[in-house]
Amino acid sequence: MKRRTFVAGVAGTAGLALSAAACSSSTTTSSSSSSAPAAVKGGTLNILMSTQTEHWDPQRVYVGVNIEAGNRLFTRTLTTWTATTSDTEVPKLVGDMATDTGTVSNGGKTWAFTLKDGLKWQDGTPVTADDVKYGISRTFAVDVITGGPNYAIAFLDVPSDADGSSSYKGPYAKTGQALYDKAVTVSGNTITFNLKQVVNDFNNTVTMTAFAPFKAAKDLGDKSNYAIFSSGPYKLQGDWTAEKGGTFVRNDSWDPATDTIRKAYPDKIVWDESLTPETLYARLIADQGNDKNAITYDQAPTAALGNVSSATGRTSIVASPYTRYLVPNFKSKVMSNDKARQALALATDRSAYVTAVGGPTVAQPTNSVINPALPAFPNTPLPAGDKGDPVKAKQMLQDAGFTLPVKITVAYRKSDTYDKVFAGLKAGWDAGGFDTQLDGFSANYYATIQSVASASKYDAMWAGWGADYPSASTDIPPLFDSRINITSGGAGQDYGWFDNADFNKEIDATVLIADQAAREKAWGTLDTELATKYYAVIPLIVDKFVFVHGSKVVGAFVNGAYTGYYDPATISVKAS
Amino acid sequence: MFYYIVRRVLSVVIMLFLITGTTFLLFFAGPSDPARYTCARNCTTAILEGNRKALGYDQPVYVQYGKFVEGLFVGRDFPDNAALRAAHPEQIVHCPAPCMGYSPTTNQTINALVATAWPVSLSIAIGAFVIWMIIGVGGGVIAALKRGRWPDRLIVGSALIGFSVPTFFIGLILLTFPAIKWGWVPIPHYFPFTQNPLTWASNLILPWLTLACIFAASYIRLTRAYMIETMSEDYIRTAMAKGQTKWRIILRHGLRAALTPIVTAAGLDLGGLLGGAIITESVFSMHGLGWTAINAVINMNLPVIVAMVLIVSAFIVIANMLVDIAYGFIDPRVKLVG
Repeated sequence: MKRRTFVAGVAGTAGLALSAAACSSSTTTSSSSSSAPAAVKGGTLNILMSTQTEHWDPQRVYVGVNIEAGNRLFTRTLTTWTATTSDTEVPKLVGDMATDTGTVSNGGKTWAFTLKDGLKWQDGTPVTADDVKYGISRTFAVDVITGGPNYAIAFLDVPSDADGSSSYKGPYAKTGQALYDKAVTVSGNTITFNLKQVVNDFNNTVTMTAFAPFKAAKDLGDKSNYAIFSSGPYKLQGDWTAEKGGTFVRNDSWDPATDTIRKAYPDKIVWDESLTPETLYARLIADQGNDKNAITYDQAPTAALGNVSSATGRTSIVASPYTRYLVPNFKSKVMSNDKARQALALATDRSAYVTAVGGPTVAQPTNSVINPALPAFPNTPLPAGDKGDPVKAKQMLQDAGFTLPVKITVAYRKSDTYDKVFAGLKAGWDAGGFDTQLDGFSANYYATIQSVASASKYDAMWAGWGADYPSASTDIPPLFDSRINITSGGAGQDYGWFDNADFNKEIDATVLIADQAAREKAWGTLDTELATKYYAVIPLIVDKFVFVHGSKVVGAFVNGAYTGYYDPATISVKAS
Repeated sequence: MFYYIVRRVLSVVIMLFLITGTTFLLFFAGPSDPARYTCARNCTTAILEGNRKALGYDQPVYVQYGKFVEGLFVGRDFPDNAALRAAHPEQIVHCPAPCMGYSPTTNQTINALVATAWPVSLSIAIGAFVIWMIIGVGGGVIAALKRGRWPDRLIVGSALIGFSVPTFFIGLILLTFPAIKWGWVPIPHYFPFTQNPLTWASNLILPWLTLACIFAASYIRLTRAYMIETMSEDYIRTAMAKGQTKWRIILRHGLRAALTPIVTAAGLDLGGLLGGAIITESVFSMHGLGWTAINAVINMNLPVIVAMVLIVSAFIVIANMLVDIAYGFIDPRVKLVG
């Protein structure tokens, strides 16, 4: 939900780019200053931001920017993803605090990680396996530690109460502490996780900072939200000020010998999140004074897109982690017919979508739910090119015995941009034999489309999603496994009420595949089946991120599969 | 006079209660679910309900409003969780009276939020107010005296331009050229007056000019119109006939009479501006009350929205009251009676 809502605002602003982006569409190649000048230690890196950090507390971080920056600067995790040397390279999973990527046993239900020696907190005390255990326990205190991912609650073998909540209530209330102590055991430097179910990519899950250590003596609950206590190369100087930012300086307790990822080139990192996107992009493009040493984690706003091309060699245009898609509602009379769903997919004009959101600089058509940056990306071919084939769709509806036009109601999250997007899509669908009613609304969009009432109201619904970590196990089951989604209260994230026993069996089989590459490939196959066999989803577009950095910044590469943002692990600033 | 003031103060208090009550009802009883914003992806019903209870959103709206009002007078604790307070008192944030609430997204009391934001809004409002009153009233008087001649046309013409160009446009032009491209003035960043008045002013000059451009225009036209009207009054002719000096007539007899409606407008404009200049603050990245309010709306930070409505309406209502009272001093014809 966090990453999903975060991007929603971005898509909203991308809309007016129509004319601006059309002019600059020739700059689609990503061209960071990759001519590889030597990285030098020292200097100050400025991070210019307009998005306010909601949490730095590792257990509460759930936004890509904060996962990326937090992990690279001060929150080390058991495992992590390597930094990349280009915007398109796929990173590798490696041990970070752990000596390796973990040992799995018990058929995928038990995972053990051993900590390296020499890991220290910023006060010089050692980071222990108990600190890791304590950190993860905080996720269970759902009334205090809000906002973070709930994978610990979902995966660890702790029983549930009758109301579905975990019987362990976290380290403050301590109710059910013995249950947690049984699920997570510590022996010396080794921490062992006993899981409820087979999770063959649990070593990917623990790359999220929610699985990072936390020193119990420093825990002030909600008050710890911005109290950064570092285990990485940088520590906070003074305090973090909400909506303004803070300054990071070197953490002398961090031992580079224990760390293969973070190069920690700059001496100082100044994070200023008090800006507006327009101002910060005007500054980055103008490239004056200290702004030459600056990067941002905010995408270029519409107003800046036309000028981005003038920042030659300082621009990165990459696929964002987010896919926008449409789900036909299996509970609707029309869409329960296979042919109707297939016809809707055929008549979908993705080129209209791309044009309406601002052209190929900010979006690209897709027929996969899984993001192109992920190893599992199946690159399912579009059913009939970017534009679709309304003639064939119409014929298909007629052959299936429908009386044309077929009335459908489509829900989407309303904004000026999305009004245009859906006007374009409607034209395609209507040409394909449908009579489309649009219902755009923005308040509580996701809560509404997953409600029982919507099941009898809409024939198709728009949605968006991005993987939590570069495994498609955070794409396919959360969106299309009916067993974890559909309840008497609603559809969960399976908004189209897709409930197919065969497909669920395939999910179960895929989860059990031990080999990571083979497993990811299998997720890709399931994605293709969803789009071309079951017609349970009509993937639409992948948003693109546009970033600009200053001329003295070296080694700014977007880590596409990890988060889709600049990776600070390798960034340095030129001396003069 | 005394009873008049007492009566006005009472009506202000009642009005503020009505405004906050309505705002509270609108947002907390509205269709959006405040607890939803505390629960991330993989949100289960159990977690959602847990958060709802922890934040008190499960209580009826009148209980929540009661707690809000109680907080204004005696303060509150966050989270309001007796068990946690007993076990881990160090985790509880106390918000002393007048407590306006707690922002769950930035983890601070709204009092703390306001304490950092209001000096910014105050600085912007006061500086802009001084500039636009000098330009506006001065320009208006000159235009009225030179009525129909070129200074009048020039002043009224440029006022029209200033008035018709949107705030964000002037703001962005001022930011892009003098600050970013040419580097004449620093890229605005708020520094407290107490730290260094010169830095404070040099960083605020662009927001001041932006607001002054917008506001001065209407004051030029207002002053000009009232001055022309007053200057044609019989008593002005009488004063001239008595041989008083030109400037004494203009200032003592002309401007003073013309000032009453201008003070009314100025009071309301300043009151509104003290509650935050949303566009100007956003363009120049000044985190005043206006920016805080718009940011709260974007993030659906309901407690902050309610507090901001309270503050902004308080400024306007109080400014209105002060203007009414000021009439008694400026305009000899007005007598305030209980």
